[in-house]
Amino acid sequence: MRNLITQTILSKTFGASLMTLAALGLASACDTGEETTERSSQYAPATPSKSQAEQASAEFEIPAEVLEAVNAEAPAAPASQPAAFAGDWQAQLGAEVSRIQGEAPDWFDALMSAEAKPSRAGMLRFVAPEFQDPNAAVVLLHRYVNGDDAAPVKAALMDALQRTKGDYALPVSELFAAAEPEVRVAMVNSMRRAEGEHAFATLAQGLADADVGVRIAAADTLAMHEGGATLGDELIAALGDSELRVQAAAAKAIGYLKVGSASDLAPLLGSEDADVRLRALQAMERVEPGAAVGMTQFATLLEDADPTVARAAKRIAQ
Amino acid sequence: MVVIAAASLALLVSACGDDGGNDDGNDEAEDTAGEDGGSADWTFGPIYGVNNNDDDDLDGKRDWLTPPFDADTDLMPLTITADQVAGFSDGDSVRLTLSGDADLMRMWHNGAHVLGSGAAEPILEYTFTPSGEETLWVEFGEFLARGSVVIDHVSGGEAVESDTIELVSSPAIMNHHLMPAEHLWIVQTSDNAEYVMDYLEALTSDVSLVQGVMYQQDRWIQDEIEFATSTDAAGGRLDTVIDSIRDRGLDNFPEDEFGPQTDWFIGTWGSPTNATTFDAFGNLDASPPAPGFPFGRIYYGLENGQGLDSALATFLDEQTLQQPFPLDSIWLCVGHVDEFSSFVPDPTAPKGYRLLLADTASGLELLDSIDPGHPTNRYNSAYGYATAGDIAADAALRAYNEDIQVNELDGIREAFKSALSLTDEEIIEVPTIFQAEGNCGAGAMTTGTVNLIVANIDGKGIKLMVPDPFFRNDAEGPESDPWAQDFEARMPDGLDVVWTDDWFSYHLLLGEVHCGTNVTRTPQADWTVDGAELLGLEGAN
Repeated sequence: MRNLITQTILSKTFGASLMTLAALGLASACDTGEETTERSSQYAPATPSKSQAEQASAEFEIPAEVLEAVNAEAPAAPASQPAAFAGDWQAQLGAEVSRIQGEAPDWFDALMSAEAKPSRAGMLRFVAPEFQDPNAAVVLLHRYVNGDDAAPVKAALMDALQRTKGDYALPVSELFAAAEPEVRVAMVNSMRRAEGEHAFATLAQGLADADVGVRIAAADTLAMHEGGATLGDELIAALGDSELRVQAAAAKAIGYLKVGSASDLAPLLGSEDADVRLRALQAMERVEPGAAVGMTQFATLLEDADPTVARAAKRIAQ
Repeated sequence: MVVIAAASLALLVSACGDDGGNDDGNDEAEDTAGEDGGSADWTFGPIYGVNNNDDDDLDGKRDWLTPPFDADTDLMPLTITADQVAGFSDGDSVRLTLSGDADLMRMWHNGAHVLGSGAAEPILEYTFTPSGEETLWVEFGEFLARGSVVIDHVSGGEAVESDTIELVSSPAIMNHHLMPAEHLWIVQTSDNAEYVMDYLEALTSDVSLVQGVMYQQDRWIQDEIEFATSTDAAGGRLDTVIDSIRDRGLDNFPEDEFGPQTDWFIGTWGSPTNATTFDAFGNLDASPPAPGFPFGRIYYGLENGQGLDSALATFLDEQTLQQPFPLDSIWLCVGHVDEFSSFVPDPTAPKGYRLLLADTASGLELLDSIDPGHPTNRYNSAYGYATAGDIAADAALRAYNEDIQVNELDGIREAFKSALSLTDEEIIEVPTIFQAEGNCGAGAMTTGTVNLIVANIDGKGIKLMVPDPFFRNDAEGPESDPWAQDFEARMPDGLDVVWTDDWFSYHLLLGEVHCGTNVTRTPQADWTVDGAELLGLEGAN
């Protein structure tokens, strides 16, 4: 894009220095006949930037604050571990918080006041090592329930649960319905490695959610979940979702989990959406190897307008 | 200043006639020198310069918007020598007729604006009576502005001698991974002390720490700016900071660090209101030279209408030399090309380098070759896998990565091969295991080792700053890490791999070393020579 600039330039006298340089250059080159037009093999470095210039003039020394930060010690974590949630989880949460505050007040305060960091993709995350402790699940839930964080931070709190290796499935399943859509997405994602009925209750809610993003997240999470086949019937039903992206996610999950049958997937081979066709084709090959080749749509897929679909079909045909 | 002195010299030499002047390639048929009274050849070399959009007087305005001043180093001289006008009769004059991008260039004579942009309409013709040697100054206002000026010796109302001078300003040429590094920048945040230490220990004063507290702890410095250079025919150089429309915490960093300043220009293409993750410059890179492309080729993520903003894509395409090609990056949560590709130097390779491509098939293969009981502490804490065997046994993860290979990476590999005329031998597969980042897309689960920085500072060896995979117990070092050892074994000889701890401060935030670093580099090729064919320069050899 060209930035066209129009501005009346006032005539001013050039400085003498440029003229002098030019004159000197001419005299020098013409008198000596030296070769001055040979191309440069390396262009001189540009004018240094501001910090670069500062660095160049200073003796190198690792800054004290860097050394201090490297050697800094984090507050001690609680000595004991929380119990799994059951029954009145809110009362239990309160008791666990009291325990943690007693055992490790500085650690508790640090987690309660921690700022979520923007990931490269833009969403916020809590990723400090302190959050990789089952007690952190308690603090995250406490902060979620009692804090006044905005929705993106609440989503980060829920996202961080899966890295605590603590227990949180019951509270999250009960908090799910009242949460904002982006928070519900994070809640569903947090069930990636959670086990038990409450985890699948949350995922089932997610698959039935009014928000398409939550439904996709639920299907994607089930795809990667060791026990995802528990909701196999719900995933098969999701193949008929009104949203094509949900259909594709469900097809992918069905393939990874090897639930359902080729006939469940067959209608999607003719989908208008290339990703749905691709995911259905690949899922079919996983669920019933060889079944896709026998489908009437298969010949069309070999010549699919989408190169990825066509390539996948050809690979299966081999 | 040295740059303008050299530039002046080169151009003036070309005006000296046969002795020491360059063969400018001008069309001899157009030259009528000496036939009608001229005493020296009426020939003039092409004028190849840089645009004048830096800020030599540090007044906060681009010099193109300012009348010329003594310290302005970016105007190119056009000199008519005393010999060339020695045969002029009384009443003879010099007539200049400008054509082409007249609104993007101008000429000055004796301090007055005489041709081109600067009036309501560009001035296209100028006639004057020379009194001995005369120098006019050519100024460009844009990258790759192109035009020509016909210079006539007019006598008795007729042009008795004539020449055509080609006027071209340098395109913006984006840095590629392997140009010699000059200086690096990383952001010092509240949580990346290990990363900073690794950099300072390896590169000492060649790296500057940007204070994160000034920039909302925005650590993704690769994403905010991209560097390009422009050069003139004599070694002068303008550095351009392409400032992303992403405008996160580092939004003001380019202005704070690089502007206003001599030899620096900061430009933005596109509108922040249209910004998406694809407009961050981890999604914009350039390859090293390839057949037909002596300056390499630009590549960026763009698929199904999702990708780099069209305003910047159009600008880059207009620069001509590094013809961009798109790649599919939308399958990634972050969506950047640096998540799956890079280049490393290798003198034994046909083109002097090899392409590094993330490869999940190799990743699964490597995984299967590692003792299943091999501990992976950090993967346990972050992802729930206590051992290599736990990862290898996750059928869904395996299927997910198989799909990424065949659906995404295989196509990307073919695109690179086609665009850069690469063979399979010129590609190094870098084992990588991706995981689903919720419903956002894929992200590297094993650290994205392909997301590295080539720190090849002159005289200091070639250091590769690579994210440490931590595929081991924390008590062990990379020498006990099968993932790290495999990476080192795949690298060409002569590269010093510096394992960089970015685990908590970048990796778990979906980025790696390349995302958290930026580098200025020294241009190696000369667009007036190496790029002459692509640009269709008339005056070059």
